[in-house]
Amino acid sequence: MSVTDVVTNMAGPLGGYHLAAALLNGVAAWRYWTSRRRASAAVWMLAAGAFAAAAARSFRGHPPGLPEWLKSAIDAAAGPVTLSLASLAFLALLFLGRSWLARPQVALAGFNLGLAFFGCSLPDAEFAAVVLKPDNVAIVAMVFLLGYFLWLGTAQAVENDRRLARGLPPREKDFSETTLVWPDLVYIELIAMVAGTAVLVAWALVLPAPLEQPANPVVTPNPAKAPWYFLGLQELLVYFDPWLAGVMVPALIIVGLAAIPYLDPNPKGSGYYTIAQRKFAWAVFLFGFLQLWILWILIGTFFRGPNWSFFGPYEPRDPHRLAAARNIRLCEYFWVFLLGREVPAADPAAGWLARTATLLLREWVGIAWLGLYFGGLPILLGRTIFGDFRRRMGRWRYYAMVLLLLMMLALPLKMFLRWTAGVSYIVSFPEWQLSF
Amino acid sequence: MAAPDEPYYNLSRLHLAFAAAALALVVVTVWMIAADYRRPWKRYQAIYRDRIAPWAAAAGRLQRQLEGLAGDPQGGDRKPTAAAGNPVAQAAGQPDGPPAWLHRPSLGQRLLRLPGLEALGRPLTIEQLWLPDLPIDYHFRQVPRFDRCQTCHFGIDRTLPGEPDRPAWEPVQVVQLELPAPKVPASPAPDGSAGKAGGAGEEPPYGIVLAPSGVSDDHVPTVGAIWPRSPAALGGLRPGDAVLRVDGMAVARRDQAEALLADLARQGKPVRLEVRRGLPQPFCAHPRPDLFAGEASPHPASRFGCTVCHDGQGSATDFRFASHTPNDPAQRRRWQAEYGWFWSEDWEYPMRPARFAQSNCLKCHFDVVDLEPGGQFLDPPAPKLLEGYHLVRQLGCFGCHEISGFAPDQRPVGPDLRLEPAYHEAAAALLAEGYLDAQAAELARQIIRHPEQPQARHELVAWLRAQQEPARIPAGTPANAGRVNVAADSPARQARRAALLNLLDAAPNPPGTMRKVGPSLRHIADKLDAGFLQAFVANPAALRPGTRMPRLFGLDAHLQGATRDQTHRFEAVEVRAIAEFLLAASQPMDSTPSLLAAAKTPSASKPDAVPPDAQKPSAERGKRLFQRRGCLACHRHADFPESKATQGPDLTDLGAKLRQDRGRQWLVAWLRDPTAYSPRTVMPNPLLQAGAGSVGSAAAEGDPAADIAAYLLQPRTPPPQPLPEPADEDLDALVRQHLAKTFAPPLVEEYVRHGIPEGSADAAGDAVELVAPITRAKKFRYVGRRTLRKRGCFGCHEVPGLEDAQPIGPPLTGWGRKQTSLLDFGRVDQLLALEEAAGGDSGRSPEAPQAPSPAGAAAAQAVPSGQTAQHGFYWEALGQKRREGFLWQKLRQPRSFDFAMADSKPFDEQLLMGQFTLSEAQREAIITFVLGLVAEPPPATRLPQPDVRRRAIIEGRKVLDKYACPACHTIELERWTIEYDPATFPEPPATEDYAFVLPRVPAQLLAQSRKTDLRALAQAELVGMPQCDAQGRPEETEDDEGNPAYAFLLWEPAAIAGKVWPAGGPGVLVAEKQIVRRRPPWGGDFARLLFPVVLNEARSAGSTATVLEAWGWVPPALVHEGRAVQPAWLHDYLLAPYTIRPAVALPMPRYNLSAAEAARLVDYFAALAGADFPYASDPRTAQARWEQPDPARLARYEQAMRLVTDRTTYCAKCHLVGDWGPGGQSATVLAPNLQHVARRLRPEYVRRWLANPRSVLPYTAMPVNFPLDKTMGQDLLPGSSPQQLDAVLDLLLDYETYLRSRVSVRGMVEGMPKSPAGGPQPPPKK
Repeated sequence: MSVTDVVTNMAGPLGGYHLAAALLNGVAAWRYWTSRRRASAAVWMLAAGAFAAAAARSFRGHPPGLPEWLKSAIDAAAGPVTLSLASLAFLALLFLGRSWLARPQVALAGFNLGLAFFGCSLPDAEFAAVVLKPDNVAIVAMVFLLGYFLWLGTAQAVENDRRLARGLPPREKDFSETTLVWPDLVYIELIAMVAGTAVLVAWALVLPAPLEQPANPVVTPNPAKAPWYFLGLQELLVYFDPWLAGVMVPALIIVGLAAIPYLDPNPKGSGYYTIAQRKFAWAVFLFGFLQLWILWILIGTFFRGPNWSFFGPYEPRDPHRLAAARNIRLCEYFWVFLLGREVPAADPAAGWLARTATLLLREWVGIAWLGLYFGGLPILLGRTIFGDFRRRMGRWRYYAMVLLLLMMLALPLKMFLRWTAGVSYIVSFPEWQLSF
Repeated sequence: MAAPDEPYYNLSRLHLAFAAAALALVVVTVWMIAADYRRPWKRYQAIYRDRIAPWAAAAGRLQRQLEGLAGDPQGGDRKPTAAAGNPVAQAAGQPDGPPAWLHRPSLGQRLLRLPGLEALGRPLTIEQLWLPDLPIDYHFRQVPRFDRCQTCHFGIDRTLPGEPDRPAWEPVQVVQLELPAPKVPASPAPDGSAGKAGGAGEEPPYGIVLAPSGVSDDHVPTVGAIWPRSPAALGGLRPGDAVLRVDGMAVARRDQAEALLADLARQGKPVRLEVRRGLPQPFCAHPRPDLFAGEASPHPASRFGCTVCHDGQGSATDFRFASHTPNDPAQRRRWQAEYGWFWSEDWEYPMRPARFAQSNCLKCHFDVVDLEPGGQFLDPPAPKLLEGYHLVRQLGCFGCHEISGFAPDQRPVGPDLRLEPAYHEAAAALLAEGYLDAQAAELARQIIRHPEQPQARHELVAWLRAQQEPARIPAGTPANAGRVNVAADSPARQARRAALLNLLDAAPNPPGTMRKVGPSLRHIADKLDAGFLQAFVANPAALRPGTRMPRLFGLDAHLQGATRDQTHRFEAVEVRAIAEFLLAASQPMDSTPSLLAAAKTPSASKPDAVPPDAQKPSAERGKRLFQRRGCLACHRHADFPESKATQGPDLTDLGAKLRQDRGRQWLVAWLRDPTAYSPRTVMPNPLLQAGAGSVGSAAAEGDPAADIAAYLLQPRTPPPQPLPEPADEDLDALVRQHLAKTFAPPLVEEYVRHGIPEGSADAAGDAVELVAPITRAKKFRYVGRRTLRKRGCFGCHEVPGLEDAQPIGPPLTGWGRKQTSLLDFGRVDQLLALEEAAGGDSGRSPEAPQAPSPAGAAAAQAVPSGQTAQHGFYWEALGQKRREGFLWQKLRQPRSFDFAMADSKPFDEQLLMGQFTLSEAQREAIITFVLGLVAEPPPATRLPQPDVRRRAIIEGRKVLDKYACPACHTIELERWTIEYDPATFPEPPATEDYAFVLPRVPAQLLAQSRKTDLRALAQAELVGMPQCDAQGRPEETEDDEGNPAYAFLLWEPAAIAGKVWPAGGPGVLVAEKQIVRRRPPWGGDFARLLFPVVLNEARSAGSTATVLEAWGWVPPALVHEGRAVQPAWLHDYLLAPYTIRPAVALPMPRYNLSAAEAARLVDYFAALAGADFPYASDPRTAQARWEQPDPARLARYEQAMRLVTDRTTYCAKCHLVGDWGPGGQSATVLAPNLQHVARRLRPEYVRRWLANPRSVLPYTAMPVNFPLDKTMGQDLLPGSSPQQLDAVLDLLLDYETYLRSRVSVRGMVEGMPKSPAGGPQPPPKK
């Protein structure tokens, strides 16, 4: 499909999209107007006007799009490092500016920005092709839903924190801890069921499942993507030994999640939202969930193209795009770049002991680093910033917690090493099919 | 904690939420049911079942009733007699009349069509065809195919009742018609109800009966039936036509149209109508129901389904998911708007767009030529596919891309166009490189002449094997003296020997049959000089416009910057290197050295017979000979623009190619025996003997080969500019690049500097050229050899040294299903975007020259209008990464897929395909063919099963195409379809003739020729030729009414108006306006070209022959050949032709045929003529008859011989009889030698020929010698005419016996010097 086709085909639906956004802002403006907050009302009226203008342009066949320079800038900037850093920055902002972010108007502004960005990107054929692919529609919805629930949780936590600071109990404590099965449970379940069915039927009608062809075992699609919920794990396969990425890490995730109740020394925050009382738990959870799971799913869904190359949102998915692959083992950094020698190679004729020794000699830097990371760091942390945890949790619980934590941190660290320095493996024993 | 009393949530808000959710569920449920109810196929099916089908049935009934009422078409009362029960009154007069034009569903049926209730009754159903024996490939699993296409395309296989080859509804089109004025102006109706055509049942205005309702729209005035012989019938109106305009005025309603027509009819005026004919998709029927979908066709829809030919997703019932493929961007836009069409990548077999609809014919029709028109299908079934096939065949695509017809398990899967085994090349190489002794060399020469015969090859292989075993060579024995010392050979030489031996020993089963399309380069130094060779290699079409050779160098439109410069420099080296290598490797023509020698001294050929002044080659004579001796049958020349032949190259300006003495000598030698230079050429030996076969002229002047050469070599253009000298560093760079593939870097450097030490094992293969001491020429030769190998030149040419090279292109077998992910589109989209930006939607890049079509289709087809749209299709296909787009771009700009990629590739990894000069239509034809190579044949039971006769025709047809026999000979005659009024058509003149001559026409055919249509006209098919004037054009005369007309000479008896017109009788006078359709003859273009030339020449020489007789002087039509000649004779004749008719202007050339091919041709002609084959036996020519001559018979022969040898009236007036010739006659009246009749002709044919020659060959000058109504020649041969005929026939068929009875060997031995005792008195020779 050419760009012109996309624009013509999408113009009508996009007009509806912008109109809906305008209506939303109009409603907001009206609400603020009636609650006598005239300035806010004016701001949202302005936003509604902008969306209405966009809608009018779309209905006339010229939906507003992003300028080319901006698109190329975004394409150029987009990359795993940028995205990871941006998501880290977002996490920091969420933590530090949570009381500001929790304000409805900020949320509305953020939502509007998201809508505008999405709406103005859709006329781009490449963006539309990825985002509107029927398989990916759920993930676009997920982005918006996730944003909403993240905001909702934060807002409630912020409110609770304020109450706690003032010595009041959290909001949830205002209510009785028990509710009636009918209507409070069963009725809303029924409503959810009915609404869910309606949404599914409508979805099926709007995006009917295509009649596809039978699978061809001799043809691998390029890129071959896992179902969306496994794309995070698939992303890991780029950086880690399959044993690690496919078996160890998922097992550790499950073990770690299961271990939370036993590892958590903080009795506060049970049954209500709070950030102030559970800063560490909040930060670790959101880091793990947003940074290590959702972000990778989004990268896998929207940014990975043919040959599992990274593509900007507006960049053509060119299977022949050449990407310089820089994969250097840490031992090569040490032996070749630092010492200017050849990497020690085992003499195949030598005995197994000699060979093992050579291998260990070759990889000694990586082994040392790993030893420091998993052996030294927990002790160091226990002596310094985690001293409090160490005391409260006891030795074994502390080490279990900190090892899991370090393992979790090791994933993005290793990925950053790959992205920035091209380090393929810290320790690599291809002879034993063992690498990290 | 105590249970709360109050619910946590506000109940009323919950109720509200529940109400909203429930409402939403109701809404989507209704939506779901509605969406199902509104599925488009239901609407289509309802329209077809309720409107179209009942309407057509009612119209058909009415039409039949009308025809019945109109009475006898031969005349009589045309007016319906009874008003009561008058169908017109019922149908047209009363709009609410009884005949049900539309189906009104009953209440129950209507109820069952309600949403939701549908499932109970199903008046509308999904129509599904279950085709378990035409499975679909689901990857490693063959799954039964099921097609639901007819769910929407409900009427696809419907034909008109009683006419199985006419579709029920054609695809919709708007037609302009002209109805003649009504003969009798309709009298104004007394009651003023003008034109309602009610009451008395009289003919409505113009004979148009409008239906009470339109087919698809109630109000559109639609023709329900046509009154026979009315103006409407004569004007070609048909039932079902919707009238849009009457005399330019738009009509929207039925009464409006009726009033208007009635008004015009009263004024007695002719009327112009604009009508919409047919129905749009999906209601119309399949085109060509004689071939497809119709029950009587070879591919009925019920047995073949749809997707086996069309592809697409047959299981879908929704337009979008059926994988319809639009034919051009306009259609795509329409489909997107109308049906929400999108390009689905989910189905691997998307429907073929209309332009490639013929591709899938290849799925079953592996022979391809069985799709040529002929037999019962005179309209070409798949012309585009055939054009593609012939282009692939002629351009030699199979030289680089294997097109194998067989799967690895030997199952036939497609057309087989493989190269023949290179036996002759291996033999020639063995011969040239001195591996053979004298005896083995003789075997090798046999192989070169006839590689298809295995005997010599097996012997040579055995000899070579024996040589290879050192133990069997007794060292130092005298017997070994003549032998080649194998043991002393270098390892490289031994390897080469083994490779050639392998080549000779290979026995692919079945072997390929295609010859390389280019000439052999083995002896090229005898033909070309370096200057031309280089320039030609660099850009063939620049020097020889119309050459089939692709351009391989200088295709740089896709290259940029430094890469472009480098490519230019390296290519300059390669061009030079190719020329250097070819000239160095060229071997002298050794097999017939005498030819060249003779060519060098033309006077040596016949020093005594020719007067000295005629010995000098004359271009003037050469031009005449060139025109006359058949060259133009295959070649074009600018001096003779009337020839459109494409079999051989265009010979204009051959002088620019063949320069100096060497070129001339080569050309003379070539003309004398083409196979001496290029053993596998399809060029026949033209048998140019001095002075033979000239009509009416004194002949015997000069050496024809030298004359033609002199004519062709007349200088026209200056020689090509010499190419600049390539730089040394580029040469070295290329040498390094090639060496680096085999040798380590230090060795490469060593070899480039000093060459490869002699005797080193490294000096093998191509590197053999680099043996020390190294020189610049050696480097060139090495690069040349590598380049020829890399660029696949050996795919078309025999290249010395590369006999065993493997084709360089990917195979095309199965390409039509090749995974698109395996096609490297590179960055071609960017190149196209650039091209588009440069305003190049014309699709012509600098790379694509606008030269006229090279190989195929005569006219440089005017590119069809909507060129942009056509390109648009391919551009979109490229964008969607589809095969069609890839192929199109590959043929258009073969290397463009390297755009922006070449910078990162070494020079010798760049794309290699050359650019062929092709028109857009030719490109599309080739794409059609290649897309059809899907290699997924249906089960053998579904493949075409030609019977023996059909198979013979198919096989023969291939041979015919290969050697271009139809260039000279007419194989199928002209066919005219005429329409006439049986009442007024003249009767054939009464003739009395022998019973076996009288034409037999089935009674059924005669009855059919009396059957008339609505216009009271009948149709007949005439086969033969129109009478021509001296220019060979149809001669125009006038019929009785002074209209232009033609006399048509029948070659086959025709049934016209219930009477039989015999073949060969006087011409049928056909008025110009009676001709509905003329199908041109097939073949004989050159004969028609030559006809006026020889006629005028004969006339100027004083001949008095009629125009008709002159057809006997050009290559004969072969329509009856199979019936005429005996198979054994024809076979031998094809292999070694001789002059039969001295009158014919040129002798049959000797073709480079194998015996098997000759046999196929023999069978072909027999099958075509419906004669017995492969053997024809007749007791009258049997051996036994010669063995036991019976005295009475001999006596009768004696009498017959008197008649035969009578030179005043009978046979010997024109015919040669043995050595007895008619004296003093010019060659134009000389007829074949009767001595050969017994061996040459079939007895039945001779009998018929003697009885009435014209009934066999309408243009013959031979008179009827034994008329049934007279008795003549009683003094020579007493008896009635039939008796005379039998006697002469017997004599001719038994000529040998007769001769033997007259000549005894003993007499010859004893009476040595005497003339044959008692033989026919030899005519006094002058």
